[in-house]
Parts: sequence; structure tokens; C-alpha cells
Amino acid sequence: MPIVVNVDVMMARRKMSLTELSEKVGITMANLSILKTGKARAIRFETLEALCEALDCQPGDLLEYQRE
Amino acid sequence: MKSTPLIRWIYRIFDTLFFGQITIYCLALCLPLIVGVAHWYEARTGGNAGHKTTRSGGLRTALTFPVAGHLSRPHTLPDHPRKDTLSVNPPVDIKLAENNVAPYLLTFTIGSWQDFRTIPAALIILGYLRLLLYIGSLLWANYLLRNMFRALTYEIYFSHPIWKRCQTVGWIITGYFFAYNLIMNLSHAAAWRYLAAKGFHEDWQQPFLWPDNWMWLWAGLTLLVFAQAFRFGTQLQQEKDLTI
Repeated sequence: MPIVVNVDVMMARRKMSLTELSEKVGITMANLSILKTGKARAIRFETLEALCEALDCQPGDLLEYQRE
Repeated sequence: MKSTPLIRWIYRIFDTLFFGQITIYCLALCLPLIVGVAHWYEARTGGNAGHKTTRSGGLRTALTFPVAGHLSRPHTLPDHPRKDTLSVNPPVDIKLAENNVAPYLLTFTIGSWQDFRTIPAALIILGYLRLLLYIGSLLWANYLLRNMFRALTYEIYFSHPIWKRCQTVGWIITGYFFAYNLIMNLSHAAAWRYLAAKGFHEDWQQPFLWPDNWMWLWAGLTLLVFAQAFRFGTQLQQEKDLTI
């Protein structure tokens, strides 16, 4: 899929662990792992909102379009 | 979500049917052995060994073949005592059929190994192929349906194995319909050939047997449609699971 989720990049910038992010956002480690590995088919606005709030960033920082 | 009592009940039905079938088939496989031992015992104890004793009151089975058309009357052959009787030893009769597929049934009564050996090989193969097809299809379909309903009782409604099983059962039942009718038509042709060899002549011979088991085809096609619905449901479920 040409949409890349840069959650791991933002986590590294904020020096935040997966467990910490999971607790702050309120989604399971398994679902965060799906997001990180690029297996997710869709993302809810509320999840995006929670991630932006936890990582103090914009949706554009988390999502990127790459031509195949 | 908890599985409904109806699903658990259906699962129990298929479970019982599956193991019941296995038990019956195991017993049926033991039957020739029991008959053989009984014959051997009769021979040892001085009874009239062989098929004569067996025919007078022993275990018997029959192979039947449809005969569609119209036989020349009278059906009696000069050296045979009963009307419609093709042979006394082994007993082979033409009986009137109760269903509408064919007006006559060519019936071989088997009471001993000697009786069995006198039946033409083609008719034996076709007769037992029909039986094996029925047993195999029913057992396989029951097994898959049992597993499908077991998964449903665990609240797994849309998954790859479920729609695959549903699709396989659909193909088994549809395939059974076509294979059964093919075997029946081949049996019909073989039965006419046997009758011609025995001196019976037809006024009119129906070229093929029209299927009377359309229910199997409809059931198979319905299951295939259900399988596609389950497949779509599985795709939606995957989408839902991968939506974070």
C-alpha cells in the first residue's frame, strides 16, 4: 500500500516506548504493532486524533504517501 | 456474542450423524465376515452348506438397477417358473419400481458368494460405485458440516475455513448429483445389455434416465451461494480487524 504509517519515527523522535504509547492512546499493543508494520487497512479518525495528541504531532507527520 | 442454542443443537445433530455413520459403516464392513463365519459353521455342523441354505432364511442383500422403457410381454422366459423372473439361481427379478425414474428395477438378490460371482462385473462395479459415492459424499459432507458448526459454536462466524468448508460441501453435493445421475445412466445401459443377453426384448428403450434428485442440486447450489456470502463476510471481518 502506498500509504506509510510513520508511528515508529514519531515514537523515536519523542523517545516514547510502545507500552507508553499504548497506555496513552488506549489501544492494544497488538493493534499498535499492526500500525507499525504497515498491515493496517484503515485508521479511525479517533485513533489518529489520540495518536496526534499523545505524540504531539499533526496527522501529516504520521501518514505519508509514497509512489509505488 | 454467545452462540445460539440452535447452532449448538445443529452441531450436535451433525456430530451424532457423523459418528453414527462411522459406526454403521464399520458394522456393515463386519457383516460379510459374520456371514462367512455363519456359512462355515453351517457347513461344519452338517447343514446344507452353500447358497441353498442361505436363500431359505439367511442374510441377503440386493443390487438394483433402473430399467426405463417398455419390455415386450410376456416377461416370462420358457424355463422360468415366475413371471418377470430372469433366473432362479441366482435369483434375478425384474420388479416394478415404486418411483417414477424407471418403470422396472432389475434386482439381483445376493445370498452367498456364489450368487455374487454370477453377477456381471460391470453391474457389480456400477452398483458398488453408486454405494461408495453415496457413503463417501455423505460422510465427507457431514464431517465438514460438523466442523463448520463446531466453529460457529465457538463464535467464529466469518473465517477462511468456514467459507471454504461451506464451499466444499456445496461442490460435494452438486458433484454428487451429477456423478449419481451419470452412474445411474451407465447402470441403465448395462441393465438393458444384461436383459438383451438373457433374451428379453424391449418394445421401447428410454435413451437416458431423467434425474429425480433435483433437491441435491438445489441444496448444493444454495450452499455455494451461502459460501460466497460467508466469503464476503470474511473479507468484511478482515477489514474490520485491520481497522485500528
